[in-house]
Amino acid sequence: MITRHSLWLLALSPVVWSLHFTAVYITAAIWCAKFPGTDLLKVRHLTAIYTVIALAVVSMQVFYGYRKHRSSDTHAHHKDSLEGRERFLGLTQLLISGLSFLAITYNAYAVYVFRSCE
Amino acid sequence: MKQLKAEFLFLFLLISCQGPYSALGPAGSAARTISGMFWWLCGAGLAIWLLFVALELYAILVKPGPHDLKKTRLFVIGGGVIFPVIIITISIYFSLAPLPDLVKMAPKGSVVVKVSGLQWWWRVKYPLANDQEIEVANEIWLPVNEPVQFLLSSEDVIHSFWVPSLAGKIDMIPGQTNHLSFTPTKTGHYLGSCAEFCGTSHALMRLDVKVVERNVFDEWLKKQERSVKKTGSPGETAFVSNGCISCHTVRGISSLGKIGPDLTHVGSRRRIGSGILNNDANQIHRWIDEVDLIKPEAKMPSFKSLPIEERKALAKWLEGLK
Amino acid sequence: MKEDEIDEIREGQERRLLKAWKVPEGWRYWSEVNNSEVGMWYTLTSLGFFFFAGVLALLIRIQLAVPDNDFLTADQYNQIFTMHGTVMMFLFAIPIFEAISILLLPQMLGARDLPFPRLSAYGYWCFLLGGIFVCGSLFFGAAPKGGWFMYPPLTSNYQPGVGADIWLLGLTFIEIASIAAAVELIVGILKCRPPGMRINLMPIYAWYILVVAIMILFAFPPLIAGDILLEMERAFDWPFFDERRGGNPLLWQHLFWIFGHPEVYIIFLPSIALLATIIPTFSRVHLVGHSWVVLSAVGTGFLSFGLWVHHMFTTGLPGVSLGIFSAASQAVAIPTGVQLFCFLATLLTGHFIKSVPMLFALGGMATFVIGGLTGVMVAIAPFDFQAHDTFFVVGHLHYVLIGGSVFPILAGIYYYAPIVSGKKLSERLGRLCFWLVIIGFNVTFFPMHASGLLGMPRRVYTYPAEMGIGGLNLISTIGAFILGAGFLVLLWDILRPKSKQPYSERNPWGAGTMEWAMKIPDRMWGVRSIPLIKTRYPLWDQPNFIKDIDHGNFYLPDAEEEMRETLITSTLDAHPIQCMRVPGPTFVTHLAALFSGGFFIFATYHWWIPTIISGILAVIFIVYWLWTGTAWIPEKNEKNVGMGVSLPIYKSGPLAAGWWAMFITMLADMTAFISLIFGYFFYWTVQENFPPQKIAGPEFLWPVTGAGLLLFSWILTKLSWKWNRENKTKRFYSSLLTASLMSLAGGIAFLAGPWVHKMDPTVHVYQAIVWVLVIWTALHAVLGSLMQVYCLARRMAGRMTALYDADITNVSLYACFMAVTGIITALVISGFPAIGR
Repeated sequence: MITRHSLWLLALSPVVWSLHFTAVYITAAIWCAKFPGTDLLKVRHLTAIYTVIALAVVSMQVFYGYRKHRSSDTHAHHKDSLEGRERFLGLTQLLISGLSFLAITYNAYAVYVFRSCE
Repeated sequence: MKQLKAEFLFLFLLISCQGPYSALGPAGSAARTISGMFWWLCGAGLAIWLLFVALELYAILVKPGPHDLKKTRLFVIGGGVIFPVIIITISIYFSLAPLPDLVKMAPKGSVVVKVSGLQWWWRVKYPLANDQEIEVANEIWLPVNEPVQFLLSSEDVIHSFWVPSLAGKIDMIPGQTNHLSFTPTKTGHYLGSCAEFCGTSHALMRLDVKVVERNVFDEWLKKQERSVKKTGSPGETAFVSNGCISCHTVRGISSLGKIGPDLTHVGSRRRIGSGILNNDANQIHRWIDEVDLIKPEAKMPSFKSLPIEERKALAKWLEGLK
Repeated sequence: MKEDEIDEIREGQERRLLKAWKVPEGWRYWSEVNNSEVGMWYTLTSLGFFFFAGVLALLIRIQLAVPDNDFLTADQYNQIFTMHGTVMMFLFAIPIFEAISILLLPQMLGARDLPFPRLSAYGYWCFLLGGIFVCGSLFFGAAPKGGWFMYPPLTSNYQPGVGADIWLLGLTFIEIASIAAAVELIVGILKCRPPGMRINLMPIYAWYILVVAIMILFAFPPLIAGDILLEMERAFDWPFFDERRGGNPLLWQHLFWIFGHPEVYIIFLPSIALLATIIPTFSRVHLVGHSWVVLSAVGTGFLSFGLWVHHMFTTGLPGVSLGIFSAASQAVAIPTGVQLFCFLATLLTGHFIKSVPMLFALGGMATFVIGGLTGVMVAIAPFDFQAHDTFFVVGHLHYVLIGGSVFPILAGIYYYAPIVSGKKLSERLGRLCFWLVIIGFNVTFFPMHASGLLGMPRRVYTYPAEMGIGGLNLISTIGAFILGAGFLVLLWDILRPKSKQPYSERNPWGAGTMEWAMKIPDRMWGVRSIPLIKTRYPLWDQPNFIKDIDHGNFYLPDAEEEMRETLITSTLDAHPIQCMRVPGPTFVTHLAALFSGGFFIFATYHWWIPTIISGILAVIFIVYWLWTGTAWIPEKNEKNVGMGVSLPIYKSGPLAAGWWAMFITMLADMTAFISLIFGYFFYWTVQENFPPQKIAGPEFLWPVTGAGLLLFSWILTKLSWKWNRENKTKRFYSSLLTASLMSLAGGIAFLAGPWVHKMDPTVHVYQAIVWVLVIWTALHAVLGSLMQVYCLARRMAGRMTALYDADITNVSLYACFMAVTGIITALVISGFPAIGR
């Protein structure tokens, strides 16, 4: 049923964002440190893969959060009930996943602006 | 009080933003890009701030009563989410666009200048075609309208190379070589500072940069390359006999000294002491006497113990090394 | 029951509660540990450091008022600006939020105290001792002078003298106290809420502090790791930042800023939390967009960890790295904007009421927005190339710190004064303070944006007249004195004698949240009975709420055994699960803090014998404290807590507060460890030949043996836990004893690795980093061994039994982390060279 793990779910999307961020940064940093002066094609390919996976997971969270949020009547999230609590968690999950989605997109875009390792 | 008034007036005039150290009076390609960006950001920032304050004032003064909850929620989503997302998306797009050009290297064949930071001066080297290098100190000349490639490092702590009118800054880190390239666009005289805290006299580590026409630059470089002729003058003798040559090089007299700035053509520089004193015999004399007071904890010891005639001759001789 | 009988019962309850929560008198007053006293001392001490650093700022401004000034020498100035930044960031900005939270959170959560009162007391005394030590150095001309950020190689190789060591060791000491406070706040927020306060009904202030405390767990340890490396280089010449021997100064910058950027959000978010609490009160409505604000706090907390390289834009990193961090640094403005708009919306929806706290709140927001906008500017890497390390950034950072943090704190001081001292502060003085501060502040810091772009770098003790910024600097200096005057007014308002002033009425601002339920002046019991919560604003929305609390109609209205008690509830729905007893006044925390401090302070001067003695004494006192103050076996299993509910008094395992504290502390510990591992891989990234070909060691034998020993030690500890439960005492004793010997042996095995291969840590950074990793692992192994022996002793002394087994439960958890540390160390130092070469 509704378990303690629901609170951890709140952190899932931002954790996916931070994993994506770390992966992109480390890939670019190690590539440019070990192969200076080369172009960034491989880095771009890897970034695309990371981004697709990350956006997929986060989109699912957006969807689930929305569903949890809409599962009962409006304004229930300040009500003292299991429903209210779930609705609140759902909305927060939805919002934080949306923010993570945005941040992941910006991150990926930044990689595409650059051609080479300078 | 009068000084205060003058300062206030000065402040208003200052909105013209010119000045030898100013980032807003650009004379280089990089500084120009950044300066242009700054004015847009200022405008946008001012508009957003005014909007915010207007809303605050509206909420507390104009209609200090309850508002409709539903409309306000829409306002929150619209103003707090959609508006910032649009602004930030635009800002990310336009702010990242100039970055690749600002960090790229200058094309091959450009003038190369190697600068090393030390506590608290700048070692400057111009590599020549024949694998040789001309070493000068604390003053850099550049040809106008040509891209220049700076190679920057440090021989002790982290410093930062910054000539605001020409370009942004780049740190000088021991163990690595950093790149900076831009094209100076206006002839003139520009000043720079070390921009990373590097110890006691960090504030006194300044730099002179002169941008001139190509032919003037070539002449200057040729002159800097020439060695000094031995004359046996009292100043020259003092320079050798008092151990100055163990730290300073004057090509033609001695090339052993690498610890301190190269003084071969020190008389030709606008300033001495890395941009802090005017270059004339009196100031040079003062430097020799009181370097420890002028630049606290500088590695050069004070030579006040020498007889005053020697110090005078030394200063005069150095002033003459044009 | 008759009226009289009810009254008599209530009187009895109150008498017993007051006895349990009585604050000692005379000099024993200082042994108190409850959150109200500790919180108040913490707040006043933090404010004291604020004023100290403020005076330093005035000295800076006097020196910079005119070009080529000689009011201060270069050396004096460099010490003063370093101390101004260091004291403000480490001795004011972080401690003040912890102080306010310690003071107010239990009130907001209807708890009688925080779950580990002695821990917060210990933290306070460490903070006081460390702070005096660090600040005192200035009076001896021996203060650190490398800037608050202390970049090597300047600070590793070019600043002999004790200043840098004072910074490194003094601050590490203080940071440990901060982490301790963070642990307590997390457990307090998740486990000590009143029944019925489900996660969606939790006050917004608690959400912010939860986010911030978790941020501290992950942000402070990288700095501690960096401090360790820098101190090892200074004291023992291990070349972590010396490029001539494979080190790299940029590692410090990464570690420092991975701490430093989240740090500023750790400072900012709790202050915004104050705004989120104050604004609804003076708008007479619920906070609009509560979930949006929660999202923003959580989002900002996470995003802030992805920004740190924007402090390193000019270090020559590849453009693509700069781009990533520039984009992220701009993106963080979005959740920040959401919060501000929710506050505006609350104002618009409600019925605005003028007051001094609101003046500060509104002024603070307007000021902060300027700082936020200049922040987006410097987040833009190309612009930062000009603005970095100039007074533009000094302007920016003060706008966000003072606008976003100090103004809300001033609002909080005026708002919460009735709770802390029982009396309101003066409205007239409050308004005077506000206007002096806001005018003074803007006159001081706005011109700095201009002077920075006109060429003024940071951290300069003087500037030449030809730079043309003399006028701007003079204006800034004048502003600084106006600002100072404003703070003097505040100081006067706080310190002036108020004996003739009547006490404030109860809930003077008409607020809706729990902390205002208390009587003014408050009684030492914190809350008369722990309420059942049904809404976010119980004082507004729950009828008869205050009356029910006062009459003891809720939980724990009594202290039958005259012991200090509070309720532990479940995380999501706040179902009551335990009646927890918390310890009372003691001096053991003082002694533990004194000797912990002694350890760091003697080490600063390289007086090794006193250091070791101090360290041992600290351990002894901490063990004594644990032995006498934790995991008390209760006289009965359960007790009646009111409202027809009976709860256990003792809990162990994953539902218990102690288990959570261990888990959270180990998260912080692992973060520091991972930072050291990051260092290892950083060196590999930036160098061609790492590990260097010609250097041998530590190979496989010893590290793998060590890891194996630690792994088995953990397994045996877990078995011991099982056998303790089953009362199989022989097996318990033998397995736990073996486990503790294995931990010790494991630690020694790790040390043997580099020892046997004669790895000299002063020769190249590879040896140094391997040594650091094995020493870290070995120290944790020794600590584990000590903990295992402790459990043996507890069982022998009858303080731990089959049923009451919190000690072995928590140590088992520790042993798991210890084993993981060992395995990772072995994988890295043995495994990586095999594939990396």
